[in-house]
Amino acid sequence: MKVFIYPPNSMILQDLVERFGHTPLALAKEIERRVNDPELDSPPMNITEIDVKVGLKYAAIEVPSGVRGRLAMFGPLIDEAEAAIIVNNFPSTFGCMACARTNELTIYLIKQKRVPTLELDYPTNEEEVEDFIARIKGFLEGLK
Amino acid sequence: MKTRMFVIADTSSLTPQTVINYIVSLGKTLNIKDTCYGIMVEGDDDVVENITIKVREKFNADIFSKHRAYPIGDERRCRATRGGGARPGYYFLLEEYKLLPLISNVLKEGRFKTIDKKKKKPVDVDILKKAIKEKV
Repeated sequence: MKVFIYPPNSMILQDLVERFGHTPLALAKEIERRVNDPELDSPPMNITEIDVKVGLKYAAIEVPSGVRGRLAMFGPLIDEAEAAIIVNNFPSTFGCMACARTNELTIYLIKQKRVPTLELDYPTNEEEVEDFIARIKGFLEGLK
Repeated sequence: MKTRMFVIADTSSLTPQTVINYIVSLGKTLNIKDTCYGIMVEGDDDVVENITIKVREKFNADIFSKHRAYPIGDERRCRATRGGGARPGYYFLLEEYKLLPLISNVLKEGRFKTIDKKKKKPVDVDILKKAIKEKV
């Protein structure tokens, strides 16, 4: 099954989903498509004005363009999702997840989709890591 | 073409060179780069996926992998052409790298135990009012 992971760039989540036999829907898939696109003429930019328009499918026009641009990347992944794993309270340096409104909208869109979802807290010690992996394992095995 | 990162857990005695030697021994056409955290592998989609499965089988929980969007040595990401400094995405890697030894141990020993977390209830308003009256 295709499992959307949140934060979508997490290596740990991506690895665990693959380890337990499912396909992770990670951000790299969307970015890879963009950076390898020959039409991209401004190299450091991953998001173009087309993405901002695509983002309208996921957020209203009043929503800032930066949020819509980000949702244009997360949105197609959420559309494909058959299940989701959401990790809350992750450290602020955890990847490019610094836009709070995008994060809120992403979680909202996953919940609106009503797919099986597992919500966890980011682990900080060994006991929490055991719990973290046990819950992910149980959830993913239950999807089969 | 697909690029994958392989990150070696800090507590492991595994070296990037060992992983490279193993991948080379599989005899596939791949572009491999040795890095400080492990290796990066680039090649045809099915070859890279096949290699990932084999590396995971061989080194189990010592190595972690993720799909990387940018190709190896891409000018938009590679520090060699960006004038130094941490590359974008490094902070995330640093954060997850701290957790890898714990995850690696748990996976190796198969210690999967769930904890019953009880949600903390907010303090009752009456208790707060009483405390305020007593102390203020």
